[in-house]
Amino acid sequence: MTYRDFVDDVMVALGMIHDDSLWSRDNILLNTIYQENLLVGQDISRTIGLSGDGVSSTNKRQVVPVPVTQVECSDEWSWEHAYFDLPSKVYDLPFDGGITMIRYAVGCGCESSVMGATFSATTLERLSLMKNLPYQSPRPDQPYYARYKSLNDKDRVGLFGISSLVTKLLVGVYYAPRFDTLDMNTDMRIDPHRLADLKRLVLTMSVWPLGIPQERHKNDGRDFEPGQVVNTRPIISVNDPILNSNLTQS
Amino acid sequence: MLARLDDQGSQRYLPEQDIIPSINSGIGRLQSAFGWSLANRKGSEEAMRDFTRIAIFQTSSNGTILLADPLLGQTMANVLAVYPLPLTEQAQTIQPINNSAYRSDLSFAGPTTPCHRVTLEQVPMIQSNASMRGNEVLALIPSRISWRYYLNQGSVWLLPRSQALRILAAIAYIQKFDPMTSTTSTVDIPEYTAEILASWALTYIAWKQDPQGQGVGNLASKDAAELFGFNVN
Repeated sequence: MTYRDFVDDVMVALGMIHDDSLWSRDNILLNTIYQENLLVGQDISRTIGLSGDGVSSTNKRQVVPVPVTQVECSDEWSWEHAYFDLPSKVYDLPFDGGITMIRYAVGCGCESSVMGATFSATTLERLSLMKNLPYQSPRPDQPYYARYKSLNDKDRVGLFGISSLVTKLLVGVYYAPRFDTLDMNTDMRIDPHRLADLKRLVLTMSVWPLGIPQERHKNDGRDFEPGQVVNTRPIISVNDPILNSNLTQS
Repeated sequence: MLARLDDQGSQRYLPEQDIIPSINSGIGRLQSAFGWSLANRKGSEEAMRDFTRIAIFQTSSNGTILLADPLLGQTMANVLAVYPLPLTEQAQTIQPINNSAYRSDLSFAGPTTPCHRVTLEQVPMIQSNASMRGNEVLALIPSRISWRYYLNQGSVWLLPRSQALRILAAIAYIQKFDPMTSTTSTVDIPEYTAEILASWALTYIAWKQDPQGQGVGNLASKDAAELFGFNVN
């Protein structure tokens, strides 16, 4: 199902299809992305967490080549390294699982002997400790990556130990869709069996603002009838699938 | 209706002086009534089907369409809808001109995307707000572009402007009724409004018998007040 299919279905359910309707597709799409990220994040966390091996969530993982920018002894970290910027937000998953792998790509400029090397996740603080340890220090066949926020607010992945000749890498990531670049005609990330939960969440989000014009849309804000009740969010069970994705497993 | 005495003192109603203007007043009032009903509830479009037209235009290099296009041959009384990037029966071409142009070589075959009307005051709020139709933020993504239009200085202005430059757009409009010019000319109005028009024309002409508003003038005033909600006196 594409985002357009889902959003149009919600638009019809809300009655927002007449020629002067208040909401457009993008309004519903934004709510959809909010809630889809919630549910997809739950699902991936479950599969790559303590009880899963991550195999069942690989259909949501993207593998993309990224260009690498080499930095010569930057002021920020005082040693040579390279980096690439993530083009979109990555899910915050257990074991820093948003980035599932980084590898040398074919034709990336690395020596063939290190092609199979895997990049290990670490932090900038640990790198400082490892730098002078002979068995752990970053080198081309034992590269590391560490995420940080750049000074210009980019989601940056620092690469340590790689050759200065490397120009690109292959990265596997769990990207969250970006509202401002999403193509409405692409398939949704969410699994089909979670669509019902997603629709319920999106409709629930919509009920509240839809209630406001009828109940509070007056300049003085004192337009309530005596005894008038404002609709509130529905109370849900602690066992609801939207709170505990394990319950949706077959 | 027999005249007692009109305010010009001619002792009779004359076609150019009294009859034709009163009929034209009725025609103008019909046009206003339809415009009023469309503006308030967008109703009665079916009632105006005989005068609903759709024409294809090419927008100017500023993304506008001049409504009073001299080549159109008709005057637009009300804009019902604007359809950017419509389907046409003929192959579409863009002419290398800067002004908007009526494209008589193209005929409308169907709309492709909705385009909502917006007020002048709302236009600046839309531009950078990705959650509002017609914004520029998402204008470059084909599946996310959304359209709006507003009316300004006799032209339709399309949003997002960046995507509206020299494109084709169809306008559905209510044609303005042509006024009566002589006693032998045709009054081109919906057939079912003929009786209403005759009644209103008689009211207008009868008003001239009584310029102080003592008699039938009160009836006309009441009638207009009921229709439009304002006082004509």
